[in-house]
Amino acid sequence: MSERRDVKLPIHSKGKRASFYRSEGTDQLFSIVMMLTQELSVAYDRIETLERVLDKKGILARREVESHRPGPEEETERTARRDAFIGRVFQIIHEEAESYAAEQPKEASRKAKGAKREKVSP
Amino acid sequence: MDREVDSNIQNVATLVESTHDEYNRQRFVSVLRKKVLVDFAKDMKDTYVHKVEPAVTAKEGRKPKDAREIRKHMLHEPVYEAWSSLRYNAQLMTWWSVREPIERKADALIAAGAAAHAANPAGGSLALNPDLPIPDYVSTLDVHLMPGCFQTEFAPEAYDDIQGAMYHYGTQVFSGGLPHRIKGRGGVGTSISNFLKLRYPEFKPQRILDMGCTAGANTFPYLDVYPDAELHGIDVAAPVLRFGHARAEAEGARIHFSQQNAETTNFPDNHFDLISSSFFFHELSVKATKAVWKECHRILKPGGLMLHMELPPSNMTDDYYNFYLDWDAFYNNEPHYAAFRNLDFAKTLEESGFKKDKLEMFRIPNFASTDPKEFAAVAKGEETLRRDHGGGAVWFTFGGWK
Repeated sequence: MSERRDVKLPIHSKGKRASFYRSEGTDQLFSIVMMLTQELSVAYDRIETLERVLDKKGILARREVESHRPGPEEETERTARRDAFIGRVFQIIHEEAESYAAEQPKEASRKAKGAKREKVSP
Repeated sequence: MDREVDSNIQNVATLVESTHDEYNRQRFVSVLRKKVLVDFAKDMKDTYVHKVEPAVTAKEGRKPKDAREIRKHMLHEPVYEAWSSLRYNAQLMTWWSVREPIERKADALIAAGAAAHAANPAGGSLALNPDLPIPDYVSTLDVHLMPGCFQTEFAPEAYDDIQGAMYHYGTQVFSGGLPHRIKGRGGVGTSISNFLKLRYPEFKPQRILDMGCTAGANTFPYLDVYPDAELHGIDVAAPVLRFGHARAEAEGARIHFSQQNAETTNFPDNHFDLISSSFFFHELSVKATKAVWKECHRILKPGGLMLHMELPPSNMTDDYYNFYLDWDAFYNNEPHYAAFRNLDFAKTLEESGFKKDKLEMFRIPNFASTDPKEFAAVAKGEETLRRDHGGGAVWFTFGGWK
C-alpha cells in the first residue's frame, strides 16, 4: 500500500564533538565504557526476561540455566550477535573513520594530514 | 476530557515499536540520565563545596566570584570530567536508542501521518511554508545533539514527519527516568495551563499560541484546560509540525499548526489572548529573542497574557547553579543559552512594549508531581516555597499582560 523508501537516519550530530579530558583518547574510552555498560544492562535484562518467562511456563527452573552449555549451531548464532554487539560498543571508532570519508573535503584533508604525520613520527 | 478519537487512524505517536533489547536500551538511558542529573550531580556539587571551594578560598583568600570562575576551577576536576562525559554520552545515547526503531518504521510514520492529515477528523490544520528560511540558530548545529535536528527531511516529496518522531520518541526516553511526567504530555504546558486556570479563574483565553512548539507535546495540554480555545502552534521546522499535526488529528485534538518564524509571524495585530512557549528562547540568538518578545506584544490582544517558560535568568540563581546550568551552552549544542540567561528580563520585556507594572514572573510547580492542594496554594500565591528548576520540580515562567 505505502511506498518503500529505505530511509537511513544519521548517527552523528552536527557540531564539534565535546572533549572533557586532556587526552581525546580518554573521551573515546569513556564513551566506549558507557555503551558497554548499556549493553551489559540490556543483556542482563534479556536473560532475566527469558528466565522468568520459562520459569513461569514451568519449562525450566531458573537454576537450570546455570548448567547449560551451547552446541555448534548455537555458537554460530552467538558469534553473529557478538559481532554486532562489538560494533555497537566501539561505534565511536567507526564514527571517526567515517568522518574522513564525509563530504567536508577541507576538514577531511586536514585530518588526513594530521593522521599521516602521526604515522611517520616514532 | 472526552474528545472524539478516530480509531481508524494510526497514531504516529504510538506506532513505533521497539524490540525487547531496544526497549531495555531506552530504559537504561532513562535511568542513566536520572542518575546523572540527580545522584551524580549531587556528588559533583559536594565535591565543589567540600574540596574545590575551600581550596580556592585558602589559596586566593576569597571564594570564586562567579559561574565562570567556578567553571575554571572545576574544568579538570575528575568528577567534572566524568560527570560531563556521562551527561554528554547519555544525551547522544538518548537519540541513538530510538534511531533504529524509527528507521524501521519510517515508511509507516510517513503513511500514517499522511492519512491523518488527509482524514482531518479533529478539524485542526497544517500550513507549511517551504520557502521559510531556517534561521542559523537552528541550522548551524544539531540542537540537543539530536542527529538531523528538527528540520532535516528524508522524503521531502512525502509527508516527512520523521524528525518529529525522533524528537517525540527521544524526549520520552530523555525524561523517562523522572517520575513526574505524564507520558506524551508536556510537563510545562500542563503546569502553566492548570496554574492559569487556578490563579485567574476569570481569564478564559479564546485564542492561544504556543511558539517553537516542535511536535506539540506542550501545546496539547492547553486544550485539556481550555477545550473551546482556538489553539495554534508554530515552529520553523516542517517535520516536527507534520508529526504534531498527525498526532493531534489521531488524538482528536483540534490544533492549528503553521510553519512560521516567531520573530515575524503572519498573525494580525491584537490577535491572541494567551501566548506561551517552553524551553524555547535559550535556543535562539539574543537578537532573535528580543524580536520575538516584540512580536508577541504586537499579536497579543489588549488584556492578553504572554507567559513563557524558560531557564531562570542568571541573576535569580546562585553562582554554582549558573555554572551547573550553563553546561548546556558549552556541550549540548545550545550556544546561546548563557547569553540568554544573562539578559535583564524585566528591562528587555519593557523594551519589547510591556509595561513594568504588568510584568509577571512565576515559579510554577510541576503539576503532575505536586500535591493538588500545594499546587493550588502556589497558584493562589498562598505558598511561596522557593524551589529551583533542577530535577524538574518547578518551572520558571515570565512575561506580562498587554
